[in-house]
Amino acid sequence: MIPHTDANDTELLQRMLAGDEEALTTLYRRRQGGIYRFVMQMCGSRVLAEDVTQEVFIVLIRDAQTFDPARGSLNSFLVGVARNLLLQRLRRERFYAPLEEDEAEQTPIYNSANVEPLEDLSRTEAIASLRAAVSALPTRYREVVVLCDLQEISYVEAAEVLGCAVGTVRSRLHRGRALLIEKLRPARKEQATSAAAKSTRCFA
Amino acid sequence: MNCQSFEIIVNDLARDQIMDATVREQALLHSTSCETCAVRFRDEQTLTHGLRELAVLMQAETTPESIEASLVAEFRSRRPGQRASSPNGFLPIAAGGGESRGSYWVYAGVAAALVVGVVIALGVTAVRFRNATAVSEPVESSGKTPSPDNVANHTDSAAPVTATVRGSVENQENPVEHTPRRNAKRLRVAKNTVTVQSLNIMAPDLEVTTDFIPIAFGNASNVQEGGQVVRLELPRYAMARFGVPVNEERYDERVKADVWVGADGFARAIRFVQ
Repeated sequence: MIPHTDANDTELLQRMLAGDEEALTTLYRRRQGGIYRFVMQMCGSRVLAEDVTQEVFIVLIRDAQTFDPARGSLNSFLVGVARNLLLQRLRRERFYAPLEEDEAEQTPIYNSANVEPLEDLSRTEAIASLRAAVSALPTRYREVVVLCDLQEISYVEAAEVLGCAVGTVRSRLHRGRALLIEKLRPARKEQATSAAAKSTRCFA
Repeated sequence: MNCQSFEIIVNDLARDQIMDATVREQALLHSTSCETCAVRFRDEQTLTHGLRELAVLMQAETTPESIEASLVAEFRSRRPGQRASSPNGFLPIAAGGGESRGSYWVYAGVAAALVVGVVIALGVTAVRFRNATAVSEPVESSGKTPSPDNVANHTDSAAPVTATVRGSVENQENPVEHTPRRNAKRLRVAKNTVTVQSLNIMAPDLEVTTDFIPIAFGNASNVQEGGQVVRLELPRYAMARFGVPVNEERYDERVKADVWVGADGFARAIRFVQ
């Protein structure tokens, strides 16, 4: 028999369904971090992230039969459950407190006019600003940024988690990143210049 | 490559995603020749760098051990492979199924069932109401609702067969005050009165009769006390008072009727004969 640590997720799930407690703990230790961080990056609340992570694995214990390997990996399934639970909780508790636009603009992470924008700010401040900007994104863009950029999962997996097409993930990511850049860029005079620059783009 | 094409792939380029080597070279070449796209590329690279730093910083974040312990306890409390219903009403949520669509469908189903139930109830009520009004509608639409005087005159001119019968008609208290709906209700009551129906003994086999209709001042239950049935003729419009539909074209024709006269000499019920 393959050791638990070498077994893939599906095998561990099968063993867990057969009553193997160690399979559950192995699976949990392997996947809890990603789920926890995903939720935390989505909502910024440690308590909520812990709750949702626990609920995800309770769902797995109680309703593991709902997982269909044909529809995607177990990790995608778990993150998808986490996402749905999180959105439910947020909707129910109205947890969202969107950051003010001004706040994000007052603490820019970088200025694209500089060659090395992050030099302008301390690293901590920059990260804090970036985190705030991500939290302030609309949900549909935030989740793809979190999944693809922070969790670094593939477009295909993100599509499985979100239940949408890969093209949708790509376009949302593109839009989400553009919004992030806009939020992190100080409100400035160069809007006019950027508009002018747009018109001078070369269309070869 | 132009700026539009560059814009499409700038994300993947900045994120070091796998792409065609030729496209990559062309994009990089374009970013060196176009200042706007170069700035755009730098922005994307900076953002990617910042996001990766953020991801690395959060890599250390993990759940407390108490969660694992509680999950193991939960697992132990269940038999292997057993699928129990959740005690707190928790609904399983499949991945990629949208945002809690399962619970939405449950709520939507319940709401749809309620709506269908209300519609059916309203429909049944409407049909019943329509049936009730349909019975009395000819009277209402005739526009010639007979007045007590008219009825009395017609009764007089009709030269009733017996005094008893005549008396029974004349002694009716404000017979026209019965609204069509009340008459219809009375008619239904008469149809359900088995005792009265059992009195249909005088009608020849070829005759078609209505059920006995209790007359307002009488009591249909008194038929047990005895009495007799008397055949007489009445103007057709007299039928309207008892909630029986009347054909306007034959309004003045005469119609046969059987009147059940009680032992006390009062008319108890009436039925019409064709």
